Amino acid sequence: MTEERTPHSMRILVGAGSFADAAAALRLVERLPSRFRKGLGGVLVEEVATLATCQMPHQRIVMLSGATIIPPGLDQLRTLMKADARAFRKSLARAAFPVGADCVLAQDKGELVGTALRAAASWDILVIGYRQVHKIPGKIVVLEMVDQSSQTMKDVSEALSHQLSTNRVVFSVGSRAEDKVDPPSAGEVRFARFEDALAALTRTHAQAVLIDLSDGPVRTRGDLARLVEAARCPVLVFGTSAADARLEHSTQIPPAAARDQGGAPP
Amino acid sequence: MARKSSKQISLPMGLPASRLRAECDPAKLGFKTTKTLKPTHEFIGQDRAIDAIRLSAEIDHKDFNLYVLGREGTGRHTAVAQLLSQAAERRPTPCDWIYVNNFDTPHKPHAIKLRPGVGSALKTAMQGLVDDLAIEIPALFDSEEYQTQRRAIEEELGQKHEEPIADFAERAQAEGMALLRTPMGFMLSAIKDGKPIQPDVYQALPEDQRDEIDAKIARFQKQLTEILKQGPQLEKEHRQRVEALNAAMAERSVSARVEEVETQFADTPSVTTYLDRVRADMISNAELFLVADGQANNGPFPDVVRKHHQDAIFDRYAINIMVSHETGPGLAPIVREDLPSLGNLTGRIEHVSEMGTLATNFTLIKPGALHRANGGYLVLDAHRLLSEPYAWDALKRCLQSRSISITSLAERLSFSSTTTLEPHPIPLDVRVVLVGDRRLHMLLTLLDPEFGQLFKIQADFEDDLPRTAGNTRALARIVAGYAHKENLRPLTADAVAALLDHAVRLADDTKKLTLGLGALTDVMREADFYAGRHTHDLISDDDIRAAIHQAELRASRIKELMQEAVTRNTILIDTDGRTVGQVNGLSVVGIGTHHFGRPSRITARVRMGTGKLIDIEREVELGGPLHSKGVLILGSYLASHYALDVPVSLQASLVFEQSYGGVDGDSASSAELYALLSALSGVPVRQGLAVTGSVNQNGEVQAIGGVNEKIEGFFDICHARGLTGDQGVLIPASNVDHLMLRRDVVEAAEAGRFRVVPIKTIDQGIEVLTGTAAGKRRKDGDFPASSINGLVEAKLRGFAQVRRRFGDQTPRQNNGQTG
Repeated sequence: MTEERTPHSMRILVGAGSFADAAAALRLVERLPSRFRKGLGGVLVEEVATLATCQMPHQRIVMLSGATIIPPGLDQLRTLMKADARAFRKSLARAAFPVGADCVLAQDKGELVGTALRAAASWDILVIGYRQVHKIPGKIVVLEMVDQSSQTMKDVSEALSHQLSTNRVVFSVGSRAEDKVDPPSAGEVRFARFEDALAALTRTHAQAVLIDLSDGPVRTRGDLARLVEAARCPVLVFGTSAADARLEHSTQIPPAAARDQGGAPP
Repeated sequence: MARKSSKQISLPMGLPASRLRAECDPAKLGFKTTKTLKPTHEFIGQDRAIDAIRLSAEIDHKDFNLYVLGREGTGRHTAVAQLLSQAAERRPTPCDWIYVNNFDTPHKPHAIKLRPGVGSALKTAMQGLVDDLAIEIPALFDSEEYQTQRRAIEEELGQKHEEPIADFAERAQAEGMALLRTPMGFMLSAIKDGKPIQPDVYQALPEDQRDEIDAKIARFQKQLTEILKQGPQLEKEHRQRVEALNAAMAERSVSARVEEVETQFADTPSVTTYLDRVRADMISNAELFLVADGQANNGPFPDVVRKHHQDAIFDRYAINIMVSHETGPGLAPIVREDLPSLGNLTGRIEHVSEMGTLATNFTLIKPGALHRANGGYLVLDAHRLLSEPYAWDALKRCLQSRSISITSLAERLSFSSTTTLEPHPIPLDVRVVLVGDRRLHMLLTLLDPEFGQLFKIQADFEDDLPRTAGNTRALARIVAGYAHKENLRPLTADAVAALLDHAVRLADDTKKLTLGLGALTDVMREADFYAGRHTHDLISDDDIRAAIHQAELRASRIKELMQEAVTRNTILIDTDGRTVGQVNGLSVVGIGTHHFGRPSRITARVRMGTGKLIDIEREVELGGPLHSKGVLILGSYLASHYALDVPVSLQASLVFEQSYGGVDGDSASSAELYALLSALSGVPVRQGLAVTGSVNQNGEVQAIGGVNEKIEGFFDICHARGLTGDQGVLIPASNVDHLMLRRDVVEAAEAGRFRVVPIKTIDQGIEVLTGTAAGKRRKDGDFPASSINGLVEAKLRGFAQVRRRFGDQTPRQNNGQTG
């Protein structure tokens, strides 16, 4: 069953490995105009690699303040995840309340990007959280292929830019024959290759990055994971239904059975 | 006792009618109606009080506050109002006082003194300033100019933070390290096969490789630590630079607008000083104007006309005017506070409920009467002031410190536990005028040592003034002035004369006129009503008399009941015949403001005894001290006038018959003495006569009060029973000048049916009462045997002889019994 939606009526899923990452994503979501927030969901992913690394000898965690601490044990980590899940659920509800949106939270294990992508198959936008290292506002970066501009992504990025009173910059990947005649417009930076864009993004102080999987240049889970690490800020992923078809849809929010019956998320 | 024959003295005629009522002659007033009379609002007969009020109103030295004392209705309030108004015109208009926010210590608001009229202007200017900035500042921060500068700062500092992280990430990637996120922070891990190395894989590695990984991780952890530690510093720098930018942006707008206001008040240094603080606060709190912009909800009106200054967040820039005066010719304020409670006097600090708690700020400071009267005069009723808790104390404190401090009653009593303010005291320069009665003035003088220090001047209003031709005409002009002021009908000369007769009666003295103008004006207003009822254009003497009569009638229920009790012999009063040891005394009964006279039967009984004079009223505690004093004087009179060579061997008792409510005063002492002399002499007293007057040890009859009411009271009883022509009243000769009797009493006296006999001595009085000569001591030392005094002395000697014989017999009897 499909829901009738206005052109900008969207359902947003926030995927994060911890509440710190999710909170940064939710701060962005809350700044979106209410018309963009039809439904809100969250998926908290217990990253297996992180759990394993915590067991390494001599390992330390560097906190945002710069202080180092010994990693928690498995039990402690699970307790922390439970606390994060509670906080995540509360924040989701708080973000959904003003606009009367539905909200739902699920927990899963695995690798963050892949798990979140699988969960977001039926959502309009996936926001992959990344904690705010500092409080200095950064730019809104739109990463797209030349001539593959998405109107929805444009609307959302402009709304965010306006709400956050920050600059919006477009990273265009690819080239056109007429580029030699028409240079890029203001607020647009062109890159020949995706890797070049990633390298530039690494050194860009961004507050959010927006991409559309259906238009590229990010097309694979691996590209998306690299993008998240390079951006070091929440990434808003559009066109999640067009993600790698080989991805196993083991995690769906709401569960497949509920969706098949046309039920609303709990 | 055997009655000796004696020559009977006939009843004296008493005073002529002309001495019983001294009426004002309308012809001598010099006008036909008050319409032709030039009204006056001057004060007559109050020179002493007027001079005192003027002195207090005009003297500049402190503590010359005024207490105006006198009876109600003597024009105290009118005089105070009129004289203070005159003095106020000669004093400069006082300054305005405002309270403004103390930006450093908000609970101690600043008081600022301003020239008259500046307070209101400053308030309007500050409201305009806030309204302007509430429009300008949001627009300024919304401008591209500001946004660009702010983004530049964020870009610069954001990049400053990003670059080291980016370098770190590239180095880590180059050396095969991955940055992992955990709920608590970042973690570094070596990469093996494109993934973070697993613990079992790590353990399987040779030791040197493990050491190499460990060293690498430690190195990167140290680098990451250094990078992240720079974060707070960069954030702080970011905050400071944005704040500096905000301040710089706000400063441009705020300074321009504040400068406009400063120009308007350039000649008032206190305002410019305040505006400097306002500017600094507005610049550092520019976000207030952005918040207000976010709350905009002006209904259908455009936002540009929104009254932003009404928003509570801008209260900090409000002007709270405690007192403001119009500019113009000098005129000091005259404030009369009818409810001089602590709050109404010194001002109060109100609170509002915010989220269930009581909160306050300097805009909730409300002025009191002292604020409004500052620089002028404050008129208070002394009794009301002293009735209000802590009000007198607060007034004294303010006068002593010469400043107005606001302290709530709850705070004084420690009932309040909510936040409150300590406003800076406002300097006080006020002249306080207390209006009260003499008793209160005396009590304050006796009991409050500070009263004399703070209220150095008293204005004592006279109760009456001499009845001279000039004063009579002056009072007539005042009457005319009052009629004009109160829009009453004009009075005929006869009406004015009748009113002045009433003034004489109220003064209780034919040589005086009352200054209780309140009572006179009451009569005038009621007479005006009767004149209107009869569609007369003028108030006539009949209207005046009707008003007086009706007022008496309304208050005479008790009087009539008492008279009825006498005429029906419920209360036994003889008005004819003769009786031994029984005299009609006279007393005055007061019901509210109405007084009337009533006779009382006074009886005396005598027998041999040890010189004891029993006052039954005193024994049962129904007699007051003055009455007891009078009775003791009687004893002394008897002891010093009769049978001086033998011990006083008398036991006598005196009583006011059918008196149940207590007796005080000595005006019946002569009547009691007459009763005693009658009882001792055995000569009966004429019951058609009543007696009033006090007596001294020499037997002189002294003046008493309420003589008119007493005569009229006995006259009414006699009249009700039928006037015989032998009835009348004995009054002290010194009271003749006080006679202003009713016309019907005067007419009866003129017709010889009633008489008023002035008496100077007891001898004179007893002769009139008994018709028997009192008798004077002859050369041989004895009174004539048949005279009253002779009979009294013989009786007393007889008692002494009986007592001596009794004393002689008693020891013998005792000896016989014991022997």
